[in-house]
Amino acid sequence: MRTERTTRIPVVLALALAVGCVSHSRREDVDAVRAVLATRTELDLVDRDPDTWQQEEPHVRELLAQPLDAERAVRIALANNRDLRAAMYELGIARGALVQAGLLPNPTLEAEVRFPEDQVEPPQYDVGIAIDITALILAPIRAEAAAARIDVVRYRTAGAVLDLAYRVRLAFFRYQASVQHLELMQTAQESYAASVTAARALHEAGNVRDLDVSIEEAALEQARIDTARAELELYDDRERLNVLMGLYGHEVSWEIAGRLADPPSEPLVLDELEPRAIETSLELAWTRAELEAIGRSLGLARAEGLVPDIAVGFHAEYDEERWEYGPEMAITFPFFSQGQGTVLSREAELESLRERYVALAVAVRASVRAARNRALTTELLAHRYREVLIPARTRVFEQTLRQYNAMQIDVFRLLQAKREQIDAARGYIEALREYWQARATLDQVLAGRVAGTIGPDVEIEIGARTRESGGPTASSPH
Amino acid sequence: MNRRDFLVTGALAGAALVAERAQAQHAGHGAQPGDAAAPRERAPDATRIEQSDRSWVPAQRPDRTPVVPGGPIPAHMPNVGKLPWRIVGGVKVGHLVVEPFDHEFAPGLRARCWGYNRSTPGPLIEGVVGDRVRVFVTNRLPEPTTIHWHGLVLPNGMDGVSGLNQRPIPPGETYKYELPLRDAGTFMYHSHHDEMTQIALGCVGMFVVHPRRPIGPRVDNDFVLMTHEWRIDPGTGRPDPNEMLDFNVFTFNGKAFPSTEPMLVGVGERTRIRIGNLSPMTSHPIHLHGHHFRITGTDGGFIPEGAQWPETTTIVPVGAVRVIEFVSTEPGDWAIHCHMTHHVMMQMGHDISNMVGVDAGEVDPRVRRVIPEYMSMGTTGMGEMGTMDMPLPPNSIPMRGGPGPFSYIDMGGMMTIVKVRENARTADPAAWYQHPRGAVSERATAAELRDNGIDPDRDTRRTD
Ligand SMILES: [Cu+2]
Repeated sequence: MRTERTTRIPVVLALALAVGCVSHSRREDVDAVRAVLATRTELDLVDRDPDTWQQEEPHVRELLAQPLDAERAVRIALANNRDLRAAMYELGIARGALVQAGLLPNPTLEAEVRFPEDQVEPPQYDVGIAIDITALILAPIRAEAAAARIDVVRYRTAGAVLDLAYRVRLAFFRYQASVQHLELMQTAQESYAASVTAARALHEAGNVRDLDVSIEEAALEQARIDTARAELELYDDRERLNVLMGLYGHEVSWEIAGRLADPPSEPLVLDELEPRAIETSLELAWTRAELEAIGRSLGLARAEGLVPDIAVGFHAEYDEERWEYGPEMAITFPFFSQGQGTVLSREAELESLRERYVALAVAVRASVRAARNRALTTELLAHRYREVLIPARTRVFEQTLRQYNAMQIDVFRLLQAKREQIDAARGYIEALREYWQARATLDQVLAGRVAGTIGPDVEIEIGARTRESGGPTASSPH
Repeated sequence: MNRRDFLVTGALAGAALVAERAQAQHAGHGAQPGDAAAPRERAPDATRIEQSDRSWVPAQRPDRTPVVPGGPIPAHMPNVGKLPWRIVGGVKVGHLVVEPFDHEFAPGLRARCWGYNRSTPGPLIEGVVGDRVRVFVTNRLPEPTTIHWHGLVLPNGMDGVSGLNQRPIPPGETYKYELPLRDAGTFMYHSHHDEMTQIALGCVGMFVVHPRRPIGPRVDNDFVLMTHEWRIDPGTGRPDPNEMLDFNVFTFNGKAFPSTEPMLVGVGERTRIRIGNLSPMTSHPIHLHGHHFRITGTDGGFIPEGAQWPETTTIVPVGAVRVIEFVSTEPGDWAIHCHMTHHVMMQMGHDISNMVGVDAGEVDPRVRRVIPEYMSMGTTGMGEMGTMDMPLPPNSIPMRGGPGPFSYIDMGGMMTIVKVRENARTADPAAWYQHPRGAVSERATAAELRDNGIDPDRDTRRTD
């Protein structure tokens, strides 16, 4: 039987301190996330009091009032996306765990009354209070281990912010491309409609067969269907953006500003990419923090295994019609169990994570190289379209028009040539989308998030494992 | 003003400079501008087009010195020169160089042709019965060649069929042909090695052998025309020898109207035109306006007078010659042209939709939504197409005709003019005919309509 006697005062103090910190700490955590982001990107996480997160963000309405560009859409999403807020609350979860770990063990009060069998004897009273000294001693070590966890969550939360911004950019460029794509489809459809008008006029004049009109009409109907599909795609792309920006109701009537920009005339200069990516990688940062946390857990497990479990207390006993007092102590010797199993697990976990850390670094390097290649290739592609193919197609059309003027071809062939020119323009829009998405991917990798894919056919999405608890995963742009 | 009107006006303004140059050139040829008696010097500005090749303005005055004392006059081949002779030991010696060269078919259309002495057809070879001629042939083509003397009766080894009668002349080498001219007549010469390519590119020419004394009535004018057909796509610069059917450029003596040099003859004069056809594939029905002619010979010889019959059109088959003769009675500018309508059409595209009768007002606004430059063409017919000044493929004169005294002449290609004048020896061969007052079809006046009981607004009724 154990009796633990000790004072409650330090316990109450520690508890009060911990609880008082929670609100303050959440802001501290958010600021820490902001600091993590500040060294990596120009993203501006709106500085809001975490306690008013639930309320409407007035900034969003202002942003929505003007036509959206990619960065404005990102700002709306960062302020408004509920998944991101959920991820931010995970900071609170970790903080809670830390607070919990830092709490001191509660004392145990034990009271006992015993009634002898013969009614003559008076009842015996037993009162004891005890506290687990070992837990008390180990509490700071536990708190340290939990504090390392907080770093992990801060990095992951920063990752979630980056992911959201990235996904918004991808979706925005995609939507922008869809808008222009649809315009071109509509122009192509116009050209089919013109063919039908011409065919009908020729038919009216008695110059072509029913068959010729039917052929043109069928082509127009096909074009209408293709345009309708393009329109549907546009709506889907718009809804993707609405989800990411957390918009609903009347807010979804936003418009976009401008068109996909031409690639800058000066070529991308990309060097020292791998060191930069390694340096900024959030995955590596949080894996380091995890290593730290596991290392501390290992230390804790070793300590727990070796330190005898000591409880001290104070015991009072009323016996023989008088009180007897005395301190009390219980020691569990780590004779058989020294927590070897737990230590083994922790050690293996540590080694496993070390390997994963190296694998991750390899993936980060590959990811930045892949993103660089993609950016350079799509830049070249967009330039080729803009500087070579589009002018070439334009010349083809101009020369076709001359052949038309020379009465070598007819209106149908001329309209066909216009459609071929439109096809080239569609190819260019596609190339521009790929270029801007590739730039976003590269920026994302350099800001510290593994993004994009390697290889067009195998589609190995790298870094997927490391993202699973880092908030919404970035969708592949390609 | 619609776009078409605007464009035509613009084109005409640009032609003013050219008209001035033409006038200056005429002034040097005797006829005085402004002289009431002189023929009208120039067409109204509204009918002129750019002429980079002035070879037909003015036309040549043929040499009429008899080829031998008391013999016939020499032949004249419009737009084409003659092979010069040098007499060596009593033999007429000439030199033909066959090579690629740049040939102008008409202003705005040039092509890399193959021909003799930088001419297609090659220079007119002209001799007299009894002559012995020696022709050296230097081959500067990238492939071997030979020359066949089409219609001439000669030693077999001189006949020029590659492989059959001789070894082909390799590039860079000079071969020698020696021909006795036994028979008078109109003959031709052409490549007989890889004929398909070399004839399509222009390796053809005419060969006239005069009798020492005229056979039949003496003629006052003796012209030589050679027909040809080419495939030159607008925007290209070389005739396509692979074409078999769809030719789009048609020429007399290598020139398309308006670059064909007109033939000036006098009223009451007897004129001979020797027409040879070495087109790759097509016969040409050649039609002469304002005259009746007789076919007096072929490359096979002369037709006895009793066997000749009157004609206004004669089909000249591929590889054949028709010699026609006529006496002019009516002064004026008379067309002579191939009567196949597409053969007086320059660079017509034949694989296009029929636009005649199509409502452009319906089509154009719709097409302009995607192609702002669009304009329907040919909806009211195609006569004006050649006057439209729109951006065209380089080196092309699609649908292009030439200037006329009253308006634009919408015939191009295989077309030229026989100019019949009272004073043929002094008239300007380039000038247009001055019609007597009231002798030109003109708009009927209201009084004329009334006096003749014509109501143009009355419903048309079929006259049965
Ligand atoms: Cu013809």
